[in-house]
Amino acid sequence: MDERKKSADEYLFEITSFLISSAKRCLGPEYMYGAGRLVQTMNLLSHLPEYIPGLNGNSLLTKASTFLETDQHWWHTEKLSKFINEMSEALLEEMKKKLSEKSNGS
Amino acid sequence: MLLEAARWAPSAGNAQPWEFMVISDDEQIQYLKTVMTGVMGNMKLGPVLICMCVNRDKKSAWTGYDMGCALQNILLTAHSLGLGACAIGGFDEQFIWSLLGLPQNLSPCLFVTVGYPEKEVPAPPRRKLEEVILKVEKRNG
Repeated sequence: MDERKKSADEYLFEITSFLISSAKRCLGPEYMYGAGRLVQTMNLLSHLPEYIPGLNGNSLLTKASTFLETDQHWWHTEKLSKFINEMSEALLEEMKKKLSEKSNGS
Repeated sequence: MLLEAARWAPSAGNAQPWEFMVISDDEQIQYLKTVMTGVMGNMKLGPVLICMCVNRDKKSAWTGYDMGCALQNILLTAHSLGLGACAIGGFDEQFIWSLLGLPQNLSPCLFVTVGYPEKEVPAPPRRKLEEVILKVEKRNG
């Protein structure tokens, strides 16, 4: 598929959705370290706009950052599972919104 | 032509539990690519993505076999037409169902990416025929 040149923020959104969907496949006590590392990566990416001028970041990364920074026990299985499911819901809504904006020509 | 081949796949009890959605919107394919955990490595998606769905009203104990037969028909027909195709089975069913706005009675089962191959890819190794055939010794007397 010929892919048009993406903006930096579109590319960051792509990475974000990749991380969220991967984290959702790592739920369960044995796999939570994988999910936890992926959420930590989202937190690291949320700080990228501080280093790259013109990059805005996105609300999903901010949400991950807030989650990690406000609860020191964020990595507990139940909390992390709940958070990742919420992130997946938020990603779905964001994708639907973007596709709908595109089909409405805005 | 691919879907015509799919609909003629053998089906247990002639249940024909399949329904198909053809996706050709670049942005939608791009979003699907990022959320399908079954898209591994440097796999590229073609310009067309077929979502093979199970109609739960027609579901039976053999639906998995039926869908596999329909998939094989799609893959063989694509190959005969010089197209490249690959099945993708790793994804969050509920997420995809909602993103595509599928009807309540349909469940996404498999995706097939279709396009023209950039190059010929050698077939992966296969187990030898003698390894996969169990021999039954003829009894004497």
